[in-house]
Amino acid sequence: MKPYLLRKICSIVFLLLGGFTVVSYSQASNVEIKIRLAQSYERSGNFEAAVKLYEEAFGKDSANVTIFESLKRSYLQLKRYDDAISLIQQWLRKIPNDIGLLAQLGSIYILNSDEASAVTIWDRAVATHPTLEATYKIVGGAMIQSRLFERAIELYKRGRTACGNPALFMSDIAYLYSIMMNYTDATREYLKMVRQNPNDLGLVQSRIAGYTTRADGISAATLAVEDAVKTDPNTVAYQQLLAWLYMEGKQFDRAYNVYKIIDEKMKADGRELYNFAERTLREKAFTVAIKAFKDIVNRYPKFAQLPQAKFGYARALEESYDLGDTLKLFGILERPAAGLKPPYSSAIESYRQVISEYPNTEIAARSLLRVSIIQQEKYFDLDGARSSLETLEKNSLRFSPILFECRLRLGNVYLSQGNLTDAANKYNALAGIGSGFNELKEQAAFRLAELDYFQERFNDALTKLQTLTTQATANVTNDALSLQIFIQENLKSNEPALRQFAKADFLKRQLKFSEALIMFESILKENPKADIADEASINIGDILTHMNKYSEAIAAYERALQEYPETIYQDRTLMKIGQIYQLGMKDKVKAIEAYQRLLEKFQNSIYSNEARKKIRELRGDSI
Amino acid sequence: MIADFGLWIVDLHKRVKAILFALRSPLTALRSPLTALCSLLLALCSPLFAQKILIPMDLKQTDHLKAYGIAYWTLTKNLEVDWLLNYRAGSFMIDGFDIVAKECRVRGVYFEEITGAQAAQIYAEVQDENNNMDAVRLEKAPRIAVYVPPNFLPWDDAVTLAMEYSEIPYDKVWDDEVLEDKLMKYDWIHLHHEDFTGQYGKFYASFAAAPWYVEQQVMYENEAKKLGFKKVSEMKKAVSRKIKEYIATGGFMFAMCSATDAFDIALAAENTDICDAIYDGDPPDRDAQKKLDFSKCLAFENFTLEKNPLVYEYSDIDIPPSPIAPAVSNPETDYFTLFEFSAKYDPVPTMLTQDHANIIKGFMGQTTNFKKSLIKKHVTVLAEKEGTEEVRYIHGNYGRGTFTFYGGHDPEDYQHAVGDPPTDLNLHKNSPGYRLILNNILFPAAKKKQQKT
Repeated sequence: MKPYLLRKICSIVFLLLGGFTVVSYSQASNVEIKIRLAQSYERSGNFEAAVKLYEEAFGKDSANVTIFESLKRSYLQLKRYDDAISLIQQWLRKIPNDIGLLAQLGSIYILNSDEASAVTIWDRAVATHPTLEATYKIVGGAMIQSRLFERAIELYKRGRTACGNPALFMSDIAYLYSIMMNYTDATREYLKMVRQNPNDLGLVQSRIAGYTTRADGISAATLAVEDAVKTDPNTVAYQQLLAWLYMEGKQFDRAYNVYKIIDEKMKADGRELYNFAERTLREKAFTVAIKAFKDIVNRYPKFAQLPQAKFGYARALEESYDLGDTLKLFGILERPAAGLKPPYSSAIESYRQVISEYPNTEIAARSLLRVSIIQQEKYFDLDGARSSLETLEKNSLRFSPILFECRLRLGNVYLSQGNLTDAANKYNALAGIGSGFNELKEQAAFRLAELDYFQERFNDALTKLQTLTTQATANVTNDALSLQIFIQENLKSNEPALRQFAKADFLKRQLKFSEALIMFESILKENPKADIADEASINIGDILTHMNKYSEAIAAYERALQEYPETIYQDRTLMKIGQIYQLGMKDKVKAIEAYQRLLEKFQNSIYSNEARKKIRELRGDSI
Repeated sequence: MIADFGLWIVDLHKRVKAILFALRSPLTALRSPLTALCSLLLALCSPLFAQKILIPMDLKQTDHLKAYGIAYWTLTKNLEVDWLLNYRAGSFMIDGFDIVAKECRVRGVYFEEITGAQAAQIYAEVQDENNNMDAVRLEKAPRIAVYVPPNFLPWDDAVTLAMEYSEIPYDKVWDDEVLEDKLMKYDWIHLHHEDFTGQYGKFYASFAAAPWYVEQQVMYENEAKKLGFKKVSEMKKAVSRKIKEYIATGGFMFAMCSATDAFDIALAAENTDICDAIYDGDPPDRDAQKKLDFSKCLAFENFTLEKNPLVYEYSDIDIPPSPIAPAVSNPETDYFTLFEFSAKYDPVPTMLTQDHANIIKGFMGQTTNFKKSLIKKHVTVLAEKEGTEEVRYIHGNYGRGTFTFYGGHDPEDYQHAVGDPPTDLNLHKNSPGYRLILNNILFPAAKKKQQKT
């Protein structure tokens, strides 16, 4: 070929190529400009204008995924679902097995109120890769987005079978059931999770806890787990879940039986049972706590926390008796009737067992302190309490909190026995203890003031009370104020009567009720018009109440109300009358009448709210 | 039994005396001066003249909230109550039955036993043309419904709390009851923190994953499906329209917090979709704002929707907008003022504003204050923050009934957040803010009087 011909051909080819490139570039640039403009319209919310441009761009470049996505998005914004469906179908002709797109098409059919077509498309999506877990995840996700929870559950279950893995989608299915408030099936799925992996127990508990606050939720969950336990009693995680549900529902008896099984199956040697017993004690389910602690002691003699379990047993016994003591008038219990077996004896025996088995330990000291409290507060056995506390004081020097409480209580026992010197020594011993024991210190200081009062050293008592009453936050301040005002009021006006009153009060403190009664009556007789007479009269009522002479007590209170209409204790006295009728004599009508009288006469009394509450209780109001 | 019989006899005796008193009541008698004179003379002379129980609602009252409960309880016993508007901050006068006195005592409500002559003096003072006071007779305990979903929601409702505390019984109604026309059984309905726009309170941004939110959405969707609606928003709009119909036929509606603006927005949006895809699966109508029909609203007009689905606010009716409110408001300086109305000429607004304080502590809610410029002209403003655009409390008529909107969530909890424990009203017995709620409850019990001209 001649060189000039070759040059000519090259020139033509070059020109042709250049022209083609210019045309192509011009076309591409035009599409790009349209896309940018459309995006700008889209951002400004002008979807109509955006769609027009996207459509033109798509017409020029129908393989461009960006244009396809943008156009689809804009159609959806404009709720042009038919157009969106056509667009996707057009795209699917190129990639017919795009699961994501098929799943999305189904969702758009739902928006277009065409559930049948949606289901058909979703089925087609599943058929593309029927044994792939991801297929079900994607299609299920689209169904959930379309709020078709039941369909999603069905699909996940189909997925399990198709993929040959029954453990698939357990968490998803359980969650879907729970939000549909089908708590039984939700729990069944969670049970499968636990069975598959017992380490998921905590996770499952937290999920189930989402509906155990509802009555229907906890009962459905409990029934489902009970069924599972019946079918498969050897799965410990099921038992743990059941025990947890029983505890959540406060079914402690049932939980106890399950915990026994758990303890055995886990070879926990009492540890599981002990944790359960401690919790039931805190929950005040004493009967179950007693059984559980007893079980530990009997079945696991080598249990590391055996002393604590024995102490827990004794404590549960003691507290269960406390719960039964319903006849508590004005905070003081009646004495146990002679001849009856004292109710706290089993608790005492148990504490003593701890003391003898673990001498010189803190748990033994704690046990002896409990024994002394029962002796002092429940049996009024002052000698017994003194003996226990004196022993404890000697043996508990290493355990400061126990020692300090022991000293305060010992002081109280000495005071009740009339041994005022030793009582003062004990209270004084508490004066210098650390700031961590402020309450004990303040109580001791108040007792010292009381000692002065009982010994008729009224000015000394007032000095001590003055210090105490400046501490506004202390628990003893109210008592201190009350005694201070009483002394101040009567010291000037009638000191002899005050002296006599202090003596009578001291007898009352020593539980010498008959002697105290005589003395108060004598004050009343000798000083019927004195300021102190109303207090004496009310004290007579109080003592008669403690002696279970309810009718006489009411008569004494009524006399006080009638003869001392100016007394500041009228409201308190009416409250006491109501309490005797309600708690002592079990006479609802009279109790209501007494509380009504209180409200009628003293609308603003500090007892009014309590009286109102009592009336409503007695009337059986729902509030 | 004997005691009960005794009480019955005493009550019967007093009832007879009360009837005699009613026959010569100065209130009735004042219409004729001659009868009034005779009545007054009788009142002054007769030693057997019946006693009255006056429940003052001024600062002497020990428990303002329970006092409303006593008034309601009295009505349930078929006894009448006179509400003495502006007399000692809106006191109640009841015939002197022993059972009423006893119940006051048991509930801790302060009352005064006054003679017939004293009562006559009070009525004369109240009726005096020179005093801005009036007496409204309450005759029948209103039947009360509270629109509340059956599921648990992590916030309390001030009206329910007030009714529970003051012991005023109520029924709960929900969408199906409303759509089945069961509202007609009630004189009064209360709406609280309910979203009638179908956007689930616009809590999505903060609580989309919270179990209560998820459960609420599923429950509402199921309810909508059950009642034949494609979307929750459609169902809620239908419910709003039913409630509006109920008002038109003579019902009383009281709404608080976000139920106020959400209710009107739902009515305005009857022909458009304002919900974003995160609420109903599809995008909102792009022309939703233009398509709002303000003529359908009860109280507001010309408002602008908050279109962002993640912003906790429905529209610009509320000021300051919810997310900004806590930052710009100071509880120490946030107060609103009640307007004073003429008791004799405007008894309804007067009833609704009875209080022992006319400057009330502010409190926040999803909807706290209404923008004054967006309130329709026929609506009466009952309270506002002086010198601002912020209106707190409004009232209006629609058809034969009325509506009252009160902004804010809980009058005694400045900023009540989701999950906060309910307010213990035992600690707020004299709450002026709560009193406004209870005024609304008693207001339907009032006997309609001829308007003075």
